[in-house]
Amino acid sequence: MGQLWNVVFIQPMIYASLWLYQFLGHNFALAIMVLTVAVRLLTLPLTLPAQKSAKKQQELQPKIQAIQKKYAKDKERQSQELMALYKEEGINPMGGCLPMLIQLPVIMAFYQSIAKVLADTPLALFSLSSFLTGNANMTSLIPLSSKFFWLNLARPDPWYVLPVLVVFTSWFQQKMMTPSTPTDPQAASMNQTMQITMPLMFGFLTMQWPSGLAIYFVVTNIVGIIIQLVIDMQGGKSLRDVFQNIWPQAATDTGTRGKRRKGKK
Amino acid sequence: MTKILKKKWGLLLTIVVAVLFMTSCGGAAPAASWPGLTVAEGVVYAALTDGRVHALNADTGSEKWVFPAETGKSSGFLGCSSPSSTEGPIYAAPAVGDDLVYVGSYNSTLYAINTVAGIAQWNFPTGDRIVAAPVVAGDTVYLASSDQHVYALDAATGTERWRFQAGHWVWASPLVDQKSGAVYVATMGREVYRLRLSDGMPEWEEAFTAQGAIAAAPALAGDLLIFGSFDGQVYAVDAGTGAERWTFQTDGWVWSTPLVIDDTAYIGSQDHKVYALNVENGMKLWEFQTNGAVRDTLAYGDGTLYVGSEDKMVYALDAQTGKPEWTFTAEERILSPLVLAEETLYVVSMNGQVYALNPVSGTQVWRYPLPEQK
Repeated sequence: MGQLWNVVFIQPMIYASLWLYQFLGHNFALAIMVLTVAVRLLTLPLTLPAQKSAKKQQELQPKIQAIQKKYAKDKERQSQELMALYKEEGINPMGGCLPMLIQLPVIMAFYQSIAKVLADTPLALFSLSSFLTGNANMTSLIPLSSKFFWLNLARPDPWYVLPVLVVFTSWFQQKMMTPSTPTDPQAASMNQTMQITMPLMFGFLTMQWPSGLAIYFVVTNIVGIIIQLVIDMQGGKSLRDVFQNIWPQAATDTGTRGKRRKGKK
Repeated sequence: MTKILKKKWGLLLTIVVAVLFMTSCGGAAPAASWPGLTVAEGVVYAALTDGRVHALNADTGSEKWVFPAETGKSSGFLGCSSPSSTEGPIYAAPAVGDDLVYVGSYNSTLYAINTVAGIAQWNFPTGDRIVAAPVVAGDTVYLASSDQHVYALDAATGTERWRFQAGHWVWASPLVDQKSGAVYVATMGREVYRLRLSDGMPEWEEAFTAQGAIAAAPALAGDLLIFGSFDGQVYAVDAGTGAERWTFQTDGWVWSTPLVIDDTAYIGSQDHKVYALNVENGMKLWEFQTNGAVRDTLAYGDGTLYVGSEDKMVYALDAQTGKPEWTFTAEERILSPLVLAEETLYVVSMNGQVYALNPVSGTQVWRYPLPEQK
């Protein structure tokens, strides 16, 4: 099974990243960025419907909760009404699962292949050798030039810039994906906890991981933000609406200042 | 609490546990280095995967001393810990001088340890990790480092005599040829240099450039310098001028130092094979297939070639024909050089087990740690 995983997923990813490295003037940071964008775009047909479905489900939460409350004692009727609602709105409640399951091995393989190619210890290089046996062209690139500005891509960021970026982009993406006005106070509390906990956790992990992997996380978050922005704007929202969801207080203050100015006239 | 909230809390908990598992907890930590050993004057000096040097009685395997004496524990997230030396892992085999044994650590420092007491007498810090074994020649210790330098140090005091900037990580031990007054240096930047032993000045007009990184020390065969490269080739260059004489192509990275006996060079490759090559022209005399990468330097004695492989096996082969004479199975992969000394074959495997074998029959004489020492 491990051998199959390596042959089907890891090895092609390794070859792709090395080919890009060669093509982009031996700049592995750029290769990671380009390959991350490429992988996200390739998995877009799977992720986009899932994200749209999830977004729609969130917007329907008031209606869903109303049905659950109304038929709290009749589970069968509740289930029927919910399915009818989903059908009417064109939502597949399980539609998000299969695409996510399919893209998960792709993402995992990509992450593992970056970690392997960034090998800068003898044991790690020894492990990499089995993937490159017989390919003299790729082997000639090893060991990679892992410098990128202040970073050594094989080692953690000494200035913690990337972990901070990971925290911020993770938080931003989460904020965009959660509804602005949840009706359930418990759901609001849950969302707030996740918005803080998850980004902080990934930021902490990034402090210990090679900075090449941190670049991958930052870029994948940014792509996720752009995708979510497109979904939101296709749903009729403006940039201001999106901004209001993330920083409602700031948006309110801006509106108030505008009104005061008008009043002073 | 609603079902959705329960699911979300469950998902959050699952993710946190998975992330913790990915970072440092959840199972035995893998080896952070590969071990190496040297034998001198009845003592086995083994640098094991715990990041410490163990001095063992060569006849019985009993422990004489361990450096450093105390083992530190490195903490992972939430206190999940793995054993490690306070000094850092060790990739290189120790080198023995007069009263000192020298070992380079992955924490960038070379330690000179008293052979009797097991206490460091001096240390020499470099700018980056040390992978290559140091080399002792006369009153000088030659040391290569990932800080791209090769150093010549006074063996007694550690005072620097000269240093050479090689332009890339140096993971291969320098090859010292006192007869010609030269030291050969191979780098991960694919280059090989010949330096003057007295002051480290380059002697070739230009460095020899291979097509792949070079991680193992070269060997001399008369006026030829032979070494392997990650491009899968075994190169032979003129030791005096650096001009290429011949190459031999294998199917995997070559990460072992050639063993030259008379007019034959023996070398292992990560294509799982051991090759016997004619030193004059590089023609293959025979090859032997194992079931794993052959990364280590081979050993030789009385017409028998000894090979350790990633498949956990030690093979004893007839040096003329390559026919197997016996095999021995260790508990773990063998990626480190074998040492034949004082009528015993010493092997160390990736789990830090040291084996002393009878070189004629392959039977185990002792192993370390001894059962009562575990």
